[in-house]
Amino acid sequence: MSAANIFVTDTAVHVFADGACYEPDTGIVQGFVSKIAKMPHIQAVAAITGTPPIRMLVESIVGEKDYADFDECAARFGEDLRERVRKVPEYFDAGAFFVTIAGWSAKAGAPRAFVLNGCRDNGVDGFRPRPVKTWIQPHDAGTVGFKFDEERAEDCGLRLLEAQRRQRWSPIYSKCEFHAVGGFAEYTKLTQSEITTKVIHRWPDRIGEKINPFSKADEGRGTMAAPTSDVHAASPLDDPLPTSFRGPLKDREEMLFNNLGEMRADPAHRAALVVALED
Amino acid sequence: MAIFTAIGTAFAAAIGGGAFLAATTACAIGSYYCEEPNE
Repeated sequence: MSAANIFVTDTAVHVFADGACYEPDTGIVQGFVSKIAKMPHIQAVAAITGTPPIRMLVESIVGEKDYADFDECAARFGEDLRERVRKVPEYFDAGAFFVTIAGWSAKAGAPRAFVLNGCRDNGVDGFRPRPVKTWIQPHDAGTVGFKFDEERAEDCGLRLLEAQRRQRWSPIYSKCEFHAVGGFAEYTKLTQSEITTKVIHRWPDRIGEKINPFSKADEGRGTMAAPTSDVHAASPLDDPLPTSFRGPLKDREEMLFNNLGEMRADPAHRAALVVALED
Repeated sequence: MAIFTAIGTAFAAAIGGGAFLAATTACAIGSYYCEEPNE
């Protein structure tokens, strides 16, 4: 699972995700699945990237913990998730997942979102909820400078997904690079009283094959494939980054991948994970 | 808890889910852009 993009505005949360699931060491598509879980009883949605069982776990926790609302979920979910994952981390690929939960905060009277990573990331402990206004994953020079326009939400979100689809990515724990955004493009919008979802595009990807955004079957969306004013190529160093951005992208990625790569290569990486889980 | 304990390769094999549900089917990508709210 790969692309999950979240934009929080004054009145809504907009979530865009692809629907491809693939083998991390080859990029061969294994199936198609929604990565956006709806939790209308607490007016929230979750965008999940990582091994498929993590989605079941997220829905299981939200169901069993009986959070009163999104605010209680935001306060407790991180620890509840850590508690579950630490019991059988091998089922959840040693924490190689991200969960973003967005919902309507009664306390704030506005939409809010937070993200949790299952492993330590650039000094940020796993399972610690981080509030986010914008979350773009995956991200590289091809998506730097992206501006979300709520008036053209659907088109804007699809352009971002198309840009992500054109790039090659390396999943956590994998040293292989391949195209990793495909299947279908799902758009979910959450407001104070509604959650709506729709498939805004379907790509011609097939189970058992690699994603190829430059295939003939992908033609017809050429205007989406080219850089646009919404998504343009630029060097991260040329573009001013928000203060919340933790250091140069390249350095941060190298840190993350090197750390996780070492964990995977090391037969004792499970022990290292346990340490992380117990922090 | 019932859902949680059922997850895994045994469960996947039992229902014929195979690789799709197996724990090794991980696909998260570690690169992201994050902008925090001004609060």
